Amino acid sequence: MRYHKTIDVHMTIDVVDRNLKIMPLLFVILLENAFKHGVENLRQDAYIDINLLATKNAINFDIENNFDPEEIRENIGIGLNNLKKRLDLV
Amino acid sequence: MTTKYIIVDDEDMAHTILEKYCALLANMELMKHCYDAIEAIEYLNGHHVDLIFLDLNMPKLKGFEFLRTLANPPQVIVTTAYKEFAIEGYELNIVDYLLKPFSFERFLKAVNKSFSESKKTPSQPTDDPQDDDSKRIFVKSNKKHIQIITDNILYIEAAGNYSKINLQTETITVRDKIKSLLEVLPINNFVQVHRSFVVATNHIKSVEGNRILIGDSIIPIGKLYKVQIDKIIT
Repeated sequence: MRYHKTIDVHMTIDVVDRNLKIMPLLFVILLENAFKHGVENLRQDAYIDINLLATKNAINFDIENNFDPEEIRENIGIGLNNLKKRLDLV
Repeated sequence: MTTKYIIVDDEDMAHTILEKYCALLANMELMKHCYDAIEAIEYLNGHHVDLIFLDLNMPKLKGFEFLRTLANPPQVIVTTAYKEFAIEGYELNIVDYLLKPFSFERFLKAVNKSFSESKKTPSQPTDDPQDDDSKRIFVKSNKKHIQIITDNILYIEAAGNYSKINLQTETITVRDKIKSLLEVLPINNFVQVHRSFVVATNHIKSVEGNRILIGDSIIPIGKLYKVQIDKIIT
């Protein structure tokens, strides 16, 4: 980790078939957001919980992080929109 | 004399690099690792430091917000990956702005700058009392060296490569440009008000619009120099 503070990262992976393929770097924006908007703005006790659940025909990725309420930005970024657009293309 | 410094950065790697660079220089003493600005404020409350290496993007309190909270900030060298805040740095009188990643050479340049600026600061107060006193200078005019008491100068007018020094009783033409004369005059008592005029603030009778009345002469105020006069009036 780049930061000096300790970060509590939990990751649970439950995937039926490890050979299933997804679009490259599909979830990286979500992970990046958790660091950028959560971890980075906290002095201490930052955490990230990641759950990846995949069955034969469905995939569920959820990620949760804590954040500093004062750092909430009003304007909407580009990352989530890009992700939605990419998913629409499939 | 050792330079006492602290590092304020939320990334470990930045601390490691700065500490390593500083260790290569003599007389640098690391006082504390601060991993955010709040830690730095706490430390500075009870300790004196000469120099801060300051990151900008930190949780809760950003680098410049922190700097604004300090009444008598020590010298500051900003270290950041963002170049867009450099101008704001100028407003806060920082010594230098290091864009990560920076080389040792670039770092050295910044530290040297902080050394030379710190020398300036303590020497100024010792100069000041002398500057307030009347001073005597020698100027060369017509193959003679003439001694003048700077208090007696009303104003100086540029005349090509020469300057006319107008005293209360006489005018002396010297082969010096107005700029070099300014350097030997007590800075507190003289101010340039026009490209071609320097006046002694003590002798100003009145300021009206863009004209100054001094002795029996009227001196114009240049557009660019108006600020200098405004500073004196207010």
